[in-house]
Amino acid sequence: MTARRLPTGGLIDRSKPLGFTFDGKSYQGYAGDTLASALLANNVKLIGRSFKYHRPRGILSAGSEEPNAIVELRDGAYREPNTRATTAELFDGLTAASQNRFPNLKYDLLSINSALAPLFAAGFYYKTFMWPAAFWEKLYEPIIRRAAGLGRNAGMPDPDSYEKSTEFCDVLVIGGGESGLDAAREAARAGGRVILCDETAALGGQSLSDGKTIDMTLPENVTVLTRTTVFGVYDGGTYGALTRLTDHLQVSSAPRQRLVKIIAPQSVLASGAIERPLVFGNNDLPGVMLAGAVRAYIHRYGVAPGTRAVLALNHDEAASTIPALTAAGINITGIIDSRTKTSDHLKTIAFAASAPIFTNATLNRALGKLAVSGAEIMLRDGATITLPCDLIAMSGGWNPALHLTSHLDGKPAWSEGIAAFIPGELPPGMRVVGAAAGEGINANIQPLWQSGKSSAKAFVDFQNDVTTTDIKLAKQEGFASVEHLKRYTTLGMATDQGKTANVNGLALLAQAKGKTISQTGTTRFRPPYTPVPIGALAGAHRGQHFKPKRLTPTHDFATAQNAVFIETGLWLRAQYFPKPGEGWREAANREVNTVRNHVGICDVTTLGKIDIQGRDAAKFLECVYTNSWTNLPIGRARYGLMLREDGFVMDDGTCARLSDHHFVMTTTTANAAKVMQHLEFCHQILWPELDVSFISVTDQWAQIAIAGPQSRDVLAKLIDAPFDVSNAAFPYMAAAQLTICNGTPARLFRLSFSGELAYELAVPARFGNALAQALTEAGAEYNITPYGTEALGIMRIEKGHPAGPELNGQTTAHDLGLAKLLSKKKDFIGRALSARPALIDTARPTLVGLKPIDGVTLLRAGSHLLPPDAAPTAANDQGHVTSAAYSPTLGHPIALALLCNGPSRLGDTIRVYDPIRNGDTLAEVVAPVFYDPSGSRLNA
Amino acid sequence: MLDAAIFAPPATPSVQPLPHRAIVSVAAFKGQIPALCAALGVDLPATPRRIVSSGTAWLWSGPAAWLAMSGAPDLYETLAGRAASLAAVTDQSDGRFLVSVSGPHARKILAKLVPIDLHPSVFPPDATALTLAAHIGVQLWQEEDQKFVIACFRSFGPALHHAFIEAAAEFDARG
Amino acid sequence: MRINCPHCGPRGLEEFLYHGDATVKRPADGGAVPSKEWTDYVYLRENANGPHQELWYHSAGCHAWLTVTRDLSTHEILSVQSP
Repeated sequence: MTARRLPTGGLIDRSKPLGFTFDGKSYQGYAGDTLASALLANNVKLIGRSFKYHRPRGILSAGSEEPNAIVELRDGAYREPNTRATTAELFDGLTAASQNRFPNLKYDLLSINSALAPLFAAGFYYKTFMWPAAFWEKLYEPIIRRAAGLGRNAGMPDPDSYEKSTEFCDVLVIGGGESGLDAAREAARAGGRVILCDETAALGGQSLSDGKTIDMTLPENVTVLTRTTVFGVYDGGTYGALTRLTDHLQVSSAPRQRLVKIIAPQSVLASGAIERPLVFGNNDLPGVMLAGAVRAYIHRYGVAPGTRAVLALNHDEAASTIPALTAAGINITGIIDSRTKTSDHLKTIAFAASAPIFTNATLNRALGKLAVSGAEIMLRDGATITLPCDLIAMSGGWNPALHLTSHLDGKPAWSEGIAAFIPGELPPGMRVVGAAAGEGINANIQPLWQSGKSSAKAFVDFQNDVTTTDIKLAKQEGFASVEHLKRYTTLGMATDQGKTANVNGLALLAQAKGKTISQTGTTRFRPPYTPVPIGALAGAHRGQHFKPKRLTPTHDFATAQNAVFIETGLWLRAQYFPKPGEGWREAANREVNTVRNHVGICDVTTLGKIDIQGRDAAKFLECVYTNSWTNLPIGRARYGLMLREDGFVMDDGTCARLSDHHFVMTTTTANAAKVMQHLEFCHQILWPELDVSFISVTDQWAQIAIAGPQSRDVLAKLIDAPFDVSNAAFPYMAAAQLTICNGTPARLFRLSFSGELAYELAVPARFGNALAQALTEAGAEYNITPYGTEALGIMRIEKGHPAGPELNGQTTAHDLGLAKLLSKKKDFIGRALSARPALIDTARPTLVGLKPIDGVTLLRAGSHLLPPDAAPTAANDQGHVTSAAYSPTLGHPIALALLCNGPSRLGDTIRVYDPIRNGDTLAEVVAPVFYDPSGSRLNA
Repeated sequence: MLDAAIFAPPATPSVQPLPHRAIVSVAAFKGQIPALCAALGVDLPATPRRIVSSGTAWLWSGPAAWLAMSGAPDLYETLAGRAASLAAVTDQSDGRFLVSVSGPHARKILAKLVPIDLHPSVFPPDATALTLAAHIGVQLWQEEDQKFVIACFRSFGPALHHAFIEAAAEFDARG
Repeated sequence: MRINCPHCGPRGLEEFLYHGDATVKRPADGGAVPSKEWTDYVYLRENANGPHQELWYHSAGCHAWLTVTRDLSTHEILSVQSP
């Protein structure tokens, strides 16, 4: 039997003892204990050191509003700081450590901060550590970093897994106490779906703390979610909740927590109320506790939080603490009623317990060093007396837990009758019941916002160490609105969101200003009500699963060919195919050489493919592309340029006509979804009269580029007779539907991104791997190689094809040398604004090629272009390098760039300036086509 | 013919990848829905529902658009022929990966990934929905043997399957 | 936030993409000249409070474009229509 455990009673399971450690020392508790109740049972009162002043702190409450008893729970990668001991369910083997103390809890060196308190008053960081300026980085900041902060991050990736879910119901009941259970039963009677959430492991709420028996039955259509905190209210009847699945277990491989989004057109807030501390000198000493918490430890956990108690109150309900103390064998040395007249209710109860009442008396200060040893009382005549005690149970009244009602900006209203805020404007669909609505609390209350005339610190916000002095100081310095008070003093800004501080704080502010609380107002609360781990918000979407991966139809083939993959948006694409001993550069260079001299294959499935059909298909293409389409013959493809309505280039691709009313459009990989959205916008909003339909076929077709002088030879082996793939029958830019490999349906396009004789062959995706394999076998005699995005990129730079880095959303058709594609005869998206003078100004950075003067220095994308003799300043900036590569075909580095007046500066020398990567070299401006400018290889 | 390969990971009690089937998109041209229904001999659903007619399932997949599904290997050719000038007919048999979620925990598993209400009172057996599952665009419906079927773009298949296996682990791991 | 798609029913915000003001109309003059009417169409917007008509795209659902009337200060959605 541990020191303070009562012989019987409590809702703990005495048949299940549990071992745990705190600061390295071993203790015993029971199943059903929280860490706080188990520590109290072992007479451990000192739990932590406060944030700024490093004052000794203990357990104030028995719930999630706890500001002081915050610990580091678990160790290693699982260690979590700022865990409320009052809500941490005890499990066998639990390890916890106190925070914010050095070298240990009892002898904390930084408690010296207490002596330096005047330096650490509210807002001190706005007034200190500013001189001399040089000292900031070298001295002040490192010291502050080491001393500041509350709790240590584990510094390792979160090893737990989390999951999410979405739940729907007709009524969401928040809070499983007496009022919540009543509301759930009532809602269930209407027959719909009801969800009842409670943040603790058991239903019952305050009744468990008061030792009261209530009806806990619920009908079948009520889904109960315990260990579930509804932490936020959002628009559209959406609620955020967090279920702790395994935090109460020693070890588990199951998801630790579940983030639950609850959609409920109606909700009932039955969240109860949170008790208010009294504000007096040293009210933060271990042993000063909320009266309701004292009852909770006695009734719910079978623990006596002390041996001799003083009870301080200003309303009737706190009187129920008296019989609880008596039943727990705790001697009551005094009841301090700050009201001018003690109520009959209190008199009766106190008399029955033979406890002395001091009417119109207040607490001056708590006495003791590391724990309460006495209470100094100020009597009505001004005299002070000292009462011996090791427990001060205090109650300044109850505050309805109305936080959720203000998440959508609703303002709580001050109720003078119960001296508390009650819900004001409510989120749509929500109603409030029970103590959360202000019912049945604070009977006969006479509010007392502070007491005590000593120099001892009187705390308002325990967790952020905000005292009554700080509030006076804030008002004095002009930070007199509630919002300024909050931010200047940090009152209400700790991990407890000021649950035990806010009302006391703004009541004191009102007093200081000589205004009423109504006039002073209150700050709003924002989600989350209690902390939510980032891991829970991510759920399964972290690391490699942050976004879903898309695999191409030839992924298995590429893997077998030793491909190294690269992420391109959501896709995994083969970047290069290294042979043994090759790095990326050797592999890419070899692949380029093989394609340009023989043949290679590359998966181009990822480029968006949109199937467009309808009577007005060609007309629709005229609207979205800058160039002409109605005259495109059947069986031909054409390059298309798409602008945004502001005249800048959005995307490019090719579009093939398969029949009068049937086209297949391609887009860049990155813009596939954006283009689809754009087409839908143009069709549904701008030109709804056009009869056209489109659908993505990106995944339907595996598409493989076959490029190189021997590409036709390879292709010919696969094509089924009688299809004629000769140059005459199937010239550059032809398109056709055919079969290959004895009947496999296919589409063939003679397109070239590499600049070689090339084709793109598409088959239904399930044949992708087999096609890649068949091409490899057919091309073996020609030294065929698979090639990846690296080689693809090198070859398109050699040919000067604009791609992502050039289509960066800030370039125009003129900039890219594509002005001739802008039709002068028809309307198209972007036509008007692309003609703005600033967009056709030839001084704009325009596409050119670059070669290093020395023939060897690599040029790098992102480098800036300057005149060789000018200072490297923004004023002299003339453009930048967009794409760069070493060209194995030409034997030297090349680049594409946007240069002011570019086309008129061919032959000029330009300085390529890259200070961040120590690049500074000279380059020659050349035409942006380095290889086969006449295109003769394309038409072979 | 080239060999076909589809992503076919092993099944678990709750999660089974489905074999290849014919899927064809049929999107009516302007004002042609009645003529299309007549040509196909099917009363195509105007709201998100799935109907079965002569062995072919028709799923609403957007305004004036449907996905036809069956085991017939020539479904595309058949429908392209019948719907000729009345609708855009596009083969999607290779464009989708299909996975089924079944068993007593199916709705609980789906609730972890799919953000819509699947309670029988609002999602009856003939309902279908276009929505998300684990951030992947999907179409979802139920088939005759009380299993939910989820279809996504083929390239997302392994990612979608992985998400369902994880979501079902709580139930399937128990065996 | 939830939007009631007229085709699919009520859905969460994550299924939609916001486009912008639904009241601006693309000039019908063919766009041969970058007139003020065109630059206004692309760049100029009223900064009014209260109910506002805007275009949303049901990107993760039926791909329908929708005109949503939403109160910009209360976030209440007053109506959702096919454009």
